[in-house]
Amino acid sequence: MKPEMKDTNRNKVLLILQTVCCVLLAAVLAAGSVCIYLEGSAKKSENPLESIYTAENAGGALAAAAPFFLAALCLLIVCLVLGVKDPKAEKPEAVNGPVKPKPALKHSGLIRTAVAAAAALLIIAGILNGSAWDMLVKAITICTECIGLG
Amino acid sequence: MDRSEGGKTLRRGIRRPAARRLVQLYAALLHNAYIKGFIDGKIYEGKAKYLCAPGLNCYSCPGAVRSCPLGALQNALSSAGHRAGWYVLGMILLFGVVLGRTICGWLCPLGLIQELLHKIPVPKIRKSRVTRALSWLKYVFLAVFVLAIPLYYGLAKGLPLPGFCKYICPAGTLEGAVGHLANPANASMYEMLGLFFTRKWIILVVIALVCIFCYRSFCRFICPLGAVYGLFSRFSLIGVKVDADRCNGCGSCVRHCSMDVRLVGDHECIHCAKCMEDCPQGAISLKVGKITLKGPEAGKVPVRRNRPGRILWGIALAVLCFALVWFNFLDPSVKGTGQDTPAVQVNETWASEAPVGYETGEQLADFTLACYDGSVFRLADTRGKVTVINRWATWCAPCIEELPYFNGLYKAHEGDIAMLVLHPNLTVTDPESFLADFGLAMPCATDAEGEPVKEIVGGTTTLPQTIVLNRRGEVVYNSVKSVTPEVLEALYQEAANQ
Repeated sequence: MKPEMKDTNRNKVLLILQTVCCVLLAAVLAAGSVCIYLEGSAKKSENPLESIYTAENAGGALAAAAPFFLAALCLLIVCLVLGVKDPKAEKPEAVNGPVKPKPALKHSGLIRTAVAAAAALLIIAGILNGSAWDMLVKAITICTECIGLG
Repeated sequence: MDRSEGGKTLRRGIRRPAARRLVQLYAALLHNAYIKGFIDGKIYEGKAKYLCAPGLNCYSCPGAVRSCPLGALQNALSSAGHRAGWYVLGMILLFGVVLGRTICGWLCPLGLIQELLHKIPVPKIRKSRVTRALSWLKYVFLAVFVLAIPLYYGLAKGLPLPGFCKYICPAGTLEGAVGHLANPANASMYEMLGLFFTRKWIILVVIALVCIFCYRSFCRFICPLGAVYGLFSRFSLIGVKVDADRCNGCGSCVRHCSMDVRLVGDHECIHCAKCMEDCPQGAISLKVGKITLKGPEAGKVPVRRNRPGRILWGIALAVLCFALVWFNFLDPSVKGTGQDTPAVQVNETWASEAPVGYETGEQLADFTLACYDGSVFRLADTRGKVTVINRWATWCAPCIEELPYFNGLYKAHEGDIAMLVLHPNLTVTDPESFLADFGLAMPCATDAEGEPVKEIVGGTTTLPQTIVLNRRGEVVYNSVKSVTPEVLEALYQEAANQ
């Protein structure tokens, strides 16, 4: 077997292994959270004060995913050292016909100035009507629902 | 040379990061300069959040020192019935007209994360007709989750519901939720996790996985902020420009681009300027108006370079150092914590020997607040009854949803329960008129200047918070999470029987 062919086969194997690791890692992370939710919900239905997630069960789910993470990390290092990457990724896309740039927008400077002026007016209006304050208030308070905590 | 990065190869094959990567890292650090937040598990509460960050960076991230334009826009729309959110609109317009989608390519922290994920070597999904069609999806996300849902819930139901943040945003889950949960100081936050978090966690994992295989898939198919900035592509001040006189229409730029562009500089173009290296004519450059920031490589066409030099990088580094010192140590607008709390003065039949504090088993320090109904709520006077304190806000949808539960509990045990519904003293709208719509029976008040009650109950910037005290004024429950009627009833029984 030619050395290039050997390299190509090795690269293919490494890419497939990395794919499997990444997909399994994602699957374990997702499945872990579903399992915690299902188990926690059952407990919560018996005692409403029970928590569904705890630092311990979340840690357990992460620990279950750790082997896949480490495997993916090791493979990543190997691939980086060997310079393995998908050869098709950088293959240029086929384009039908010539690609000519659109002519510059007429009066683009004018449009830009008008929009910038409108933006400045809106900002001033926002400071005067208190919407800037609204934004600050919201930004310095954590809304648990907004970030997915619940 | 690595074409995708544009970085130069140094000795022993080590690649120097491209200028764009350095700018991305710099911007990510500048967006999240409040390092103290990651250590304390709290968010930055200073006035720098009057300004929006240009990129998608959750303002509930412990390190964030700027507001998220997308989150702010949704909140402005959801409170459009009370006050028009001109300020956020102005900010977004300004970012759009000056930077456009250059923000996506150079400044967005989430863009950087996606690009780093895409570095993982796996077989890649290349752009195609399918991805081009999918790229229109982000306009649907913009219309439905950013515009329609907040407007509908805000105007029709009076509920502030930021649809994109609530149902999709991976930046919120990663930077906000995971950023807080990773800190042991926020261990109590685990109590509030449930179906909602499970769903958003899965969305985050799926998006991260897809980003490994498909370049910037969140940007290309989902990001509503990119969709907004894309509208400014044709006239934004900074961006990639094509010299029509030099261009021969070979299409090399479009063929090599990983985004779903049809033309350089169109609404899908993130102005990363990678195409400059692929243009055989040297027709592409990154410009600010007519000034060239980044020109074609040397040896092709002799265009005078105007790259950020060492002086510019030095200034940028000085700005970053100043920001880190200012936001973490000097900013006077960041409130201090740990005020001394007064001891409880009243010790009658329901005397308690518990120490003063807000943890379970401790007794709360006394406070007095004037309520909207004209009554005065004095904590010491509630001894002998079960006391429930709820911290809520007009802009917090879960808080508003659970208010009727507290009302139900109050009515069910009237005479044996003392309740206070407490709003922070930073108000978006007038809570009094807001509460009138609910027909609440229990006393409602706004915290006094400096939020002393927030300090007494161990409140944070997170809402809603519920505190339940037994008849001796000792804390039975103090948690930041939504409650159900069943939970409230169970807490009442527990407190009443102690």
